[in-house]
Order: sequence, then structure tokens, then C-alpha cells
Amino acid sequence: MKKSVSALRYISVICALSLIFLTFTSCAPQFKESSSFAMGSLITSKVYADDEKTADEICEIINSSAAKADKALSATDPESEISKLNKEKKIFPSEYLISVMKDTILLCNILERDVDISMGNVTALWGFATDSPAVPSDEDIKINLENRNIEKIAIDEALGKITIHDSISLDMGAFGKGAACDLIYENISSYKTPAIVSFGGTVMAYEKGPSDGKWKIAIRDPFADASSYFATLSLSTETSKHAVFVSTSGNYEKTFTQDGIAYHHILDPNTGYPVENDLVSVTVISSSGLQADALSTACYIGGYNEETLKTLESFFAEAVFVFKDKTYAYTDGLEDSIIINNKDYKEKQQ
Amino acid sequence: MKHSLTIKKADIAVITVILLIAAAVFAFSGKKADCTAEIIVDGQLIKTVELWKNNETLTINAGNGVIIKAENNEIFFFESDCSGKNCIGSGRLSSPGDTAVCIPNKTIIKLTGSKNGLPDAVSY
Repeated sequence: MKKSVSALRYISVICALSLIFLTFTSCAPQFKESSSFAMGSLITSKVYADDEKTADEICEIINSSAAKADKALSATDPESEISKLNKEKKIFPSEYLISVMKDTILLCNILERDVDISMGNVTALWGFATDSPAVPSDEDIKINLENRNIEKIAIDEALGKITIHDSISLDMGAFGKGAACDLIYENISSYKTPAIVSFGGTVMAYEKGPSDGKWKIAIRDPFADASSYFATLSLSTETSKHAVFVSTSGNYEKTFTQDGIAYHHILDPNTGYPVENDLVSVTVISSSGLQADALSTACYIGGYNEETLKTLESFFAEAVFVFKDKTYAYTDGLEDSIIINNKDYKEKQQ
Repeated sequence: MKHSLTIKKADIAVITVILLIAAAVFAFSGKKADCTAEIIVDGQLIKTVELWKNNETLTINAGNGVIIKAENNEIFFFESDCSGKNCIGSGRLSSPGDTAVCIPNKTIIKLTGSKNGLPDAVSY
């Protein structure tokens, strides 16, 4: 009898001590944070290295990779390779831009109904990248939209040359941040050190995250200010790349109001106007940054339907859709990894 | 051999005391008043404000066309010479994890401190 009581004591002490221990250790593990600016976006990163020197090195690589992507793809920098291509219609760019362009064109051919980089002239008419966006004339939109054609882009790999037809310019808006995340991933993946990077809201998470090996990636609340989130994804990186990419397209980014009507920046390549459907944001989870970025735009434009879900499936991507009536839907693969933080949102009735 | 599950009063006392200590530690660590604002310009930390104990009105000139104000445990972009004024539109920050940014002026206000359940990153 004595024995069992002392055993009970023993157990209770262990339980209590482990409670205290858990409380202390539940504090997040140490990481190094850094930030920089590229492609008109804020880049923030957290690196979970064991020693300061490695953490510094990786932060440096992240920021220099972001700068490299900016130099190739920035729409706001007139000196970027893509800006020069749009002006001069022919350039001999970096190998990086050539590889990005090849992957981008492949994706555009698959997603042709919903994304088209050759409609840059239409995007330029709207002026979303400028200080004074405005609704263009219907006529101007029509003419420039007719000229869009992905076939008007020619890549000569042997010569290291990209040429575009005089009648078009390129808009890499649906690809740039994702391509930059891919570059960051490639450059830090030799370290095997956990890191998470947000490139203007497109997220790259690498290696094991701090919460049971998972990364907690929140999705912004489309109806609230930028620091509120509607849901949180708990994502593992158990893929061959040990990385996961998350991209969101929403109608709250880059907006302007004219004559009482609000316009957002996601242009439908079929009409040349901001896409109007029942969605407010689409978040895509993929093992490729470029694909996550392109698919979030494509799914937003394509809308929530069978075809869009099939496209996602063909890319092994998952997605979260948020609708104007504050309902949401997500793909089956996210069942165990999504938590809805804002209970005002209800699941969409099928 | 007879096993007894009797719990003595002393055992209950020991368990209660230890659980109370655990609860106290938990409550203390969860509510630690430490919300601090960091103002970062072009990658350099130029100022920190201990928001949790800040009662006065502070005006911080970041020196790059940006003026930031802190008052009543809140901090916000007050003035900026940028064209979009998105920074001013981001409103008042008061909670760990909150961030506001002026991209043209490369200025970030970031709130740090302990808060449970913060995500590692936000997709937007």
C-alpha cells in the first residue's frame, strides 16, 4: 500500500515538473530575422541556425538572391532585364532570366485561359505600378488585348537571347515573387538549415519548422487590415525538395477607386479588366514558388469550379478559396492542416 | 498483493501546490508585458520603443521623409512623403507580430514580444 502511494506521488511530481518544463520550452526556438526590399516588396526572413555565423550567411544569401531576382524581373526598376526587354524588345539576359522565362512560358501554355504574360501593354494602360492608376479607354484595352500572344516571345538558348514582338510587352506580375522564392530556395538549400521567407506575401518555407517540424503560415484576412489573418496552415516540408511555397492572390492588393468604383490589379486576360467573380482571395500551396504564384492568380481568375480544381490537382497543389460572402473552401489535402482563426467565416455549402 | 489507490491528504496538497506553481509560471510567461516596437530603415534598426510601458506621445523622425508617432501603447506611420501613403493607411500597431511598412521609403515598424500562437509567416 505504501508503495503505490509513493508511486502516485512520484508520478504527480513528474507530471507537474514536466508541465513546468513544457511551459518554459514552449517558447519559440531562436531564429535570426532580417529584412530587405526588392521588386517593390518587403522581404522578411527567419533563419533557425545553430550558430550566428551560419545564420548571418544565410540571411545574406537570401537578401542577395532577392536583389538578383529584382535585377532580372522587377517591373518598377527601369534598369531591370525585363524592363529593358519591354523597351528594346531584344536582350541578352542572365541565365537566370532565361530559365525563369522558359518555365513561365510552359506554365502560360497550360494556364492560357487565365494567365498571359504577353498582356503587359494592357497592364501598363491601367498603371497599377505607377502613382496614378486610372481606368483606360475601352478602345485602348481592346487593341492591346488583341495583340497579346505568348507565341510572340522567342527564347534562343544557344545565343542566350530573348526577343519579343514589337506589339507586346511582358507583365511578370503573376510570376515574379514566386520565381524569386525559387531562387532563394536554390541558393540556401545546400545549408539544410530551417528558414522561412516572405517575399511580399509569397512564402517559402524550408526544412523542418519550429512547431513539431511544421511551419505555421497564416493567410491574411481579406476583409481586415494587413495584420489580421483568417486562417493558419500547418505545413510540413516532407517533399523531395524539403520546401513548401505558399502564394496568395487577393483583390485587396494594389487597388484604386474611380467614380466610386473600386478596381483591383488582377486583370482577366480575356477581357483586359479586373476579374469580377465571387472570390476575394485564393491561396495556393505548392512545391514550386513559380507554380504557387502563377496558380494563385490563375485560380483567382478561373474562379472556384471543377476546372480550377482539376488544374490544381494536375500540379499536385492545394488551395484555399475565400469568397465575397465571407465563406471559404479548401482542397481535400488541407483537411488536417488548416485552422480557421476568424470564426466569422463559414465553410461554403457545396 | 493488494493495491490501494487511496490518496492521502498530503498527496493532494503536494499535487495542488505543484500545479499552482505550474499555473503561475504559465500565466506569468503568457502575459509578460514586453511588447516592443522596432523601427528599421533600409535594414538598420534605428530605434526601439517599449510600447507596453509607453504613456507619452513620441514623435520619431526617421530622417527619410517618414515621421512615426507612438502614444498610448500604440505606434503608427504619422507622415510620409511617399505617393501611395499605404504606410499611413496601415493604421495603429499595438500587438506583437504586427508589422507596417513604407516600401518607397524602405521603413518597417515591427512589434516584437511574447504572444502565443503567432504564425511563422503570413501569405497575402
